[in-house]
Amino acid sequence: MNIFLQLGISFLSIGLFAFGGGYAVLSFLQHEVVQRGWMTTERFADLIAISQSTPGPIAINLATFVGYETGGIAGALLATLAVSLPGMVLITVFALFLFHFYEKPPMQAVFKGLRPAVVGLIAAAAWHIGEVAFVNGAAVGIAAVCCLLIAKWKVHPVFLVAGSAIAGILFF
Amino acid sequence: MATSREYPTLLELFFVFLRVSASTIGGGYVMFPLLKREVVDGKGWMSDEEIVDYYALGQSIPGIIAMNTSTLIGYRKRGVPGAIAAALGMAAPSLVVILLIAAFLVPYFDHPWVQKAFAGIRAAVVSLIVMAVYQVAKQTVNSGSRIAIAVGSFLAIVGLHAHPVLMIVAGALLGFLLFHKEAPA
Repeated sequence: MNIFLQLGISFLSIGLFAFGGGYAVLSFLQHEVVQRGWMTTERFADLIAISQSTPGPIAINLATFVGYETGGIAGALLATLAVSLPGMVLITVFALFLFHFYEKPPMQAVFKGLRPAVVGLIAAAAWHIGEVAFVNGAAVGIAAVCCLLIAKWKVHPVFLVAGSAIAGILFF
Repeated sequence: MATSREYPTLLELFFVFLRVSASTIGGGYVMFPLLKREVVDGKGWMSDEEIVDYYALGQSIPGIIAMNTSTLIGYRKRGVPGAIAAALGMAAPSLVVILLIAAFLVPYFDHPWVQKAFAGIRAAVVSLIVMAVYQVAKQTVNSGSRIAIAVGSFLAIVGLHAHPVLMIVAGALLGFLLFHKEAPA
């Protein structure tokens, strides 16, 4: 199948089904990228790190990056547009009904079930990346220190990414 | 939902969202305080309550929270052209920065130091995702049935390689069946 067609279908479906923002998009994209053989999980983890430490929404950064790696500049623009479009159209339509519809009990019930499912699938994405990231004790140590820094001092991702890059050069 | 100020120009919408996007590193959850500072405190385009509701709606619709929320604010202010101007402003910094990195830094990816640095970063990425999901879980996975849905969705993907879309559909159905008799909280 043509790469642009693949990118279009892939990113439209991610934009249509990924509830829960950047990290949910990440779990969908990880699935697509590996299934379609676009890149390895290691390479994808590198792109996540770059997307988290550069300005802009993570999912847009990731879409631009994966699109560029597979289809050049046209691929980058296509992936970004495709991943954004479903949400933009839906929210514009939704804006017409706005809060009446949103606050109805059946709709709230649906979201109450949907949110835990999203938590589970984001945790699964972390698991898959952990499988390739935890290659030795130093990697586990870096992850543990990062968790502590986030939990105790809410250290910004940029500093964690920079610090773990230095730790990687020193200890790997 | 009364709008508290006259219509901004499309260019003004574009640049406000461009500024928010360019100064946010780390995605949707980091963006909220910056968005509020620009749109509520700076421009007076809407109230505190409105921006929180818009943000909640942006999260409840599939897709990217930041894009959905900016589209909604843009639409509210200037209709469909406003929505497009806001979304373009939000996407522009990503496109420029990522394309520059992808075009110029990728050749250096194979250097051993870069490889080692990325091996370190991958470990940190796991922590970033785990801690983000923990924050969300504290608020949304707060009963036995919700824990069962979260664990079930995790195990189905890790153990059975189920497609994430299936988990979304199953979660929505279970939510409707389990919670539709609960009083709206």
